[in-house]
Amino acid sequence: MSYTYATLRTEIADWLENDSTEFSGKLDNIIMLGETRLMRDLNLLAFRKTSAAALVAGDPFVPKPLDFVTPRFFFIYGTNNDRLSLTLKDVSFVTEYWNDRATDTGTPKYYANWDHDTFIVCPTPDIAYTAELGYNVRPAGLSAGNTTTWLSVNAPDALLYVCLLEGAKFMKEAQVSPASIQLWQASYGEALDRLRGEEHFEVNTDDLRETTIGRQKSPVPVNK
Amino acid sequence: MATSGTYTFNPPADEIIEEAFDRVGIEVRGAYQLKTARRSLNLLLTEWSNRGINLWTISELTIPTVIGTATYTLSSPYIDIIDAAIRDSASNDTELDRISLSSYQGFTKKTTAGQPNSYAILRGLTSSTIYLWPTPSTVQTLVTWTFKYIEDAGAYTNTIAVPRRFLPALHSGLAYYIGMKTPELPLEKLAVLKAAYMEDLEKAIEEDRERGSLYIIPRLC
Repeated sequence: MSYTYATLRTEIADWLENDSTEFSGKLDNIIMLGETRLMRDLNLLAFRKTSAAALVAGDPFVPKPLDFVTPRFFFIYGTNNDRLSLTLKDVSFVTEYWNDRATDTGTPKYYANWDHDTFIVCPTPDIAYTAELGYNVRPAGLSAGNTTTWLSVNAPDALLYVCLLEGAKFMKEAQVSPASIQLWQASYGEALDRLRGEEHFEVNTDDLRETTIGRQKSPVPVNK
Repeated sequence: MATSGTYTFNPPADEIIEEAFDRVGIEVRGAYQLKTARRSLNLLLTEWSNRGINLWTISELTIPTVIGTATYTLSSPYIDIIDAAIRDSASNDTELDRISLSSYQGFTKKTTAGQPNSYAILRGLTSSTIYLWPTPSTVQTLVTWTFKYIEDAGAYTNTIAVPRRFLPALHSGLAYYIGMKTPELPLEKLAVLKAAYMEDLEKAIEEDRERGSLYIIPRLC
């Protein structure tokens, strides 16, 4: 089972028993809020992306991709196209380590989030480098022009429950019983756990080995 | 299977700091962690100098003598003299006896001129003063074997001026120092870090020794 933009809108209105024009006009916003919350609560393969970046000689600043949300890895290509991994640090670390970024140059070793749109690397690149940047994205949500998404196809349960929770906030307590909200909250939590479980098996196990590969990441806390 | 064929492992200061923090169980992220770790690293290196002679810090230092001058300066980073001799113009060395400052003070006439046969050292704040006795009557060369402080850590990109055999002790020692200023670290973990440091240092010191044979001959009379 999966949802499309249209079927999800219908489901939300049906579950919340609200077919008013006012509520219908807010449904796109409710879906957007639900998707945003869901994507923040999860760290799934589906939200991962890798893209190339260019480091300019003498310039320690590297623009982030437009769809960048959080970093996963940062490699540069060294001699013979060998990938060299850069380690994520705080800006203060980068500045302390390489305090004359204007004139001193070398092979980059660390990177940090300079601001929302820019990375800083250090040492300041001595030559131009091609980089491979892995990061998490926030994919485009459902809309009239984007009728299905990964979440609507692969996580319809979590998507529905989170949208019901966001819709209930709009409708206020008088129109939605606290018991229903509790039920959807619990259902949302269970759906998240199932998604994480599925992701865990996808990433860490196969038929030959059922044990966890490497260190298991701490689960992302659910905003209850 | 191929092997690397290289023998160049010598991590720079930032990687030593990262390893030390890893052993404590903390990830290095900010500037202050770097700064405090470098300070600890310099203190650790100073502690090693205080422990005694590190073979790689021994070097020959020659000082020309001046007729009628009894005192000569041993500047930082030199800590002390192990052996000293006076070398004449024919490159023949005559060993000098080290005497205490009070023995030197006991000489009635400090300006007695002649071939120096002894020396005393006054350890100062930033430098030391060598006192020769008798005061040189000819221009010769004071040849000394000295040991000095280990170089400062300096920039985070530097490697540390210790031989590879001391790298395990350098890492475990820094981890112990960082552990000491990590209030949330359990005392049991700190004890483990200290024990690891002491073991690594003991092994390194045991390895860092003079391998020439030592002959002890009894004087039978």
